[in-house]
Amino acid sequence: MTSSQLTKIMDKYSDVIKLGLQIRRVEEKLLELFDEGELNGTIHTCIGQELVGPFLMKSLTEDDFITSNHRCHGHYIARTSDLRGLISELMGRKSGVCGGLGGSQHLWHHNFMSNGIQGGMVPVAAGAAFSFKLQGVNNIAVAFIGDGTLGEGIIYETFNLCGVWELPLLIVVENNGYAQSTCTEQVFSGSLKTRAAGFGLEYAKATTWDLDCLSEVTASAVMAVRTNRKPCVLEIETYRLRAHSKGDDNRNVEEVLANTRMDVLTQFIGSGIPEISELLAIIDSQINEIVHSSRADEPATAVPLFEGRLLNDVEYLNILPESENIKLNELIYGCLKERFSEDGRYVMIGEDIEHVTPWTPCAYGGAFKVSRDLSKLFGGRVTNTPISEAAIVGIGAGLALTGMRPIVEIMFGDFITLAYDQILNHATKFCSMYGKPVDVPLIIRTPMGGRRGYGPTHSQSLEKYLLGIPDLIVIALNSRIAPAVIYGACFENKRPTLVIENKVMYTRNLKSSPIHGFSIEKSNEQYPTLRITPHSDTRPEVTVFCYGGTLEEVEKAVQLAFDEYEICCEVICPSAISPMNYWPVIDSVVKSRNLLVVEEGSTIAALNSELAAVILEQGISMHKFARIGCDATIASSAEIERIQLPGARMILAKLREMMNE
Amino acid sequence: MSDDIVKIVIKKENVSDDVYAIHRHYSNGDMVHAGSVLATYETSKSVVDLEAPSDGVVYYNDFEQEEVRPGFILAVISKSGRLVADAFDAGDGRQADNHMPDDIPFGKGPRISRKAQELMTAHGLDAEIFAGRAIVRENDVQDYLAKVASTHGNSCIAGSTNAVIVVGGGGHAKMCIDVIQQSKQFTIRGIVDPNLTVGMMVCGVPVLGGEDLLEGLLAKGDLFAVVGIGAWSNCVAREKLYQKLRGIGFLVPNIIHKSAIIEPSVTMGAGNQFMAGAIIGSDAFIGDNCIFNSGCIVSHDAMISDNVHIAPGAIIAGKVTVGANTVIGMGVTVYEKISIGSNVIIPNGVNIFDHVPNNAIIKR
Repeated sequence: MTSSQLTKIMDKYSDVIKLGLQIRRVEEKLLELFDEGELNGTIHTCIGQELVGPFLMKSLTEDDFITSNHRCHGHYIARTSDLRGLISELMGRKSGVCGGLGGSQHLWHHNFMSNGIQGGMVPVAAGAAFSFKLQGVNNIAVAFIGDGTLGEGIIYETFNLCGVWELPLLIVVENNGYAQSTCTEQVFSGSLKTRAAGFGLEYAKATTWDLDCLSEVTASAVMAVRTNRKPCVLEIETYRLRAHSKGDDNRNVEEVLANTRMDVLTQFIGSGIPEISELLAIIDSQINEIVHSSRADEPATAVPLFEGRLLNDVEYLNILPESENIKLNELIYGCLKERFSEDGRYVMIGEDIEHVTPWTPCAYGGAFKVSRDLSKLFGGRVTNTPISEAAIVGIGAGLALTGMRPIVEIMFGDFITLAYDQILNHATKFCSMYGKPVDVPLIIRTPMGGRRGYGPTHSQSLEKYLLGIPDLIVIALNSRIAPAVIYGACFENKRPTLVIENKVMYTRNLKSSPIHGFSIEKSNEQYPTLRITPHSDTRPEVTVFCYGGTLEEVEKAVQLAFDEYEICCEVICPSAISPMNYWPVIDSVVKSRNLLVVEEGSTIAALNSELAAVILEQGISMHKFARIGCDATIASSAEIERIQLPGARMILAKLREMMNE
Repeated sequence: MSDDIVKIVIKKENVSDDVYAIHRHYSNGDMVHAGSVLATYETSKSVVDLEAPSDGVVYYNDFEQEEVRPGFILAVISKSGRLVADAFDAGDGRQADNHMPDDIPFGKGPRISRKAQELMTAHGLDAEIFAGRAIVRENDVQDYLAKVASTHGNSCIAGSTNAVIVVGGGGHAKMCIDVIQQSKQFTIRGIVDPNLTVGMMVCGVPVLGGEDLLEGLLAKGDLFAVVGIGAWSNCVAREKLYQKLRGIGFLVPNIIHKSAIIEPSVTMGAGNQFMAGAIIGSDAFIGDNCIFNSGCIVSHDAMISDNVHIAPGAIIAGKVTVGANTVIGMGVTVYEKISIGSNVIIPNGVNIFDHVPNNAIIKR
């Protein structure tokens, strides 16, 4: 372009061009710092793609919610102008926007968050959009992704959901033609336009080489989403002028050069226009000053570790018989109903949870009848979803980040693996990875466990795969502590909470019957530990640890162990299994010197291993240690299932073996 | 079955329930008509009415059951009004676990183990004597018997006395006799030893005769017997005698010299003998039929198995484990947390710093 053409562009889009040049110079500086060894890890620059963010941000408000990806520096600067926070962050300084914890890919600012997992932030943005819809505000959500993300299934789950729910979500696909080193042409079938159309989404397209088009299309796409309250896919063709990250460019050099020559900002920088040179000098000096002062800043400091706890201020109180012939699924329903009526922020989403719908006139209310008529009582806040476990957990996280109190029901615990990335890399990560506490009050409810004949993929107890995830609280309901107590505590959480509801318990009543010769006690912890202990005149000989659905089997076994073999057991059954207070177990093992751990999941690297390790760490000498679980593929056959799962008979046999009876 | 009888079977209504609460609406022998609601049952999802398929007389199966399982024959309709014997066959539904009780009922008074109950029955004891206790084991009953015997002599328990028989009449028996006499817990009936002359006195106690007398003495009401033979490399003989006495039906009490110091937190079985000056530390665990000889020290948290002999002056440090039938010689010291196997012999005066495997014979 000629100087006069460039000047015209400058006159027309001066703010955008200035912001674009700022992003360009910051990223070039970051590459320089990387070369000099001043940055830890790698960086993904958006050099060549800078103008997308600035054009879009012109139409967005402070209250719109934006998610970005690994290539997020440009979006962040366009949104916040916070060069200092960004540069210090990448230099690993405490003064960085995320205290040096997030680094290049994990940035947070009011209503802006980025993460490095491809596509994973799209349902989170959809959750924010759902939140805006429920709150009746005019805000929209924007999710930036690249063409490389078009192979990720979760974005299509989200396309479907935001289409069917008419969510104000703008999905911006920056198509630079390459996924890291792989050409999109090699791995992409069909067209994005028809993919969007397949989900009934609006589609718009622009390029970074035609600024008038880019300006007009970005503005109109934002306007359409805001006005029509419907989602839209906006594809922006662009080109990345530098490597995916560092030293990994395998593209045709001629192609890169040709695109560099076409690039508007490159032309500005090489134009020699005095006004531009002067602008660049100001930007460079500002950046140099920031780098200089960041160098003097305090390095990032350690963040608190995920706590494994030993809190000894535990007191036990006898559980008073409560009563009532109410089944567990009704009790859970009861406490949800109470909460929903008290607090309008509560939302529940899940598969098959609605009562009646315009399409299905007969009542349903959840596969295990927990939600019952909540959809009728709290219209719009209790909603059926498609079978999309990953997306609905992501949407839950988005709702939680934007002022709602979501509860996501996963119909069978076996399906939680589909949402694992959303739990591990998204919802829980948000709490700490931005260097400041971010509240994610998300509750995920799911049934685990066998004894129903549902076979290998609907009977498992997979909670061990979710233990020890930083910032995830894992709770297991049992048959003696009222769900209202446990859920009451969960409702106060600011971190993601997974509640395991063993599926055989749903149709059984909460137990309040005493056990002859034993005291049944509940601790004063936030999530109470249940202790079943021989009355005080007898010292227990074996501590039996269990949680959730195994409690009922353990109760039978310890009674028979006493009656038939004079083995005196103390049962410790916590409600919170991660993080867990190990003290009640330690306290019991110190007395008994023998520990049997009963779990329904597989035994390797599970809670039993953890308890053995903690007891060793504490230097407590144990006489016998044993564990029971299910290390097989769970059969559908009732006979085989009975042999496989740890039932009272198996527990009793193990107790006899331990005590040489 | 004839066409006269129509079975009304509980069907599985949904995947979530094993049992349904049932409400019956007629009495046995009532006349019903096709479409009459015989019963209503509740599932977690809905309430289901069971209708009579035809006219006839209704007979319900097991009126007591308030909850029924799918497959249960709830009732039959007899068109003729007659009920045939096999009407309810094969209608019991499926059980949750055929091998384990579904729920164990809550009893009154203390929870008594099977072994304890058997011993109580044998001695005509009633559960009331353990009022206030939560659970009762065989040991508790034995303790009770011993206590009553020492307090009330012959009179309290049917056929029981506080007299004890010392089996064996050698040097070890002499020690036992002194311990028993000083503790005043028992009176000594006499000594049973085939190798000694009947009527001769050992420490003032008469020899009664050979072991063939034992059953007769028990039958007369002498409940207690003490193993009066020592154990230097002779644990097996002591164990055999102990088992024999138990097998006959004797109670073998722990005997404790008045100068022995046993911390209250120690747990012990039966038949143990604590000689003068023995010290047993806190939280130690002791099996059955062991000898803790004069002046030995067993420190805290030690685990001593059955038939162990700790000879005079031996010192066992804290958290040491000693397997069954092991002999630890005079003046031996055992270092902290050491594990000594079963059937081990450690000669006098040795210092043990390493774990000792089963069956080892340590040489000086």
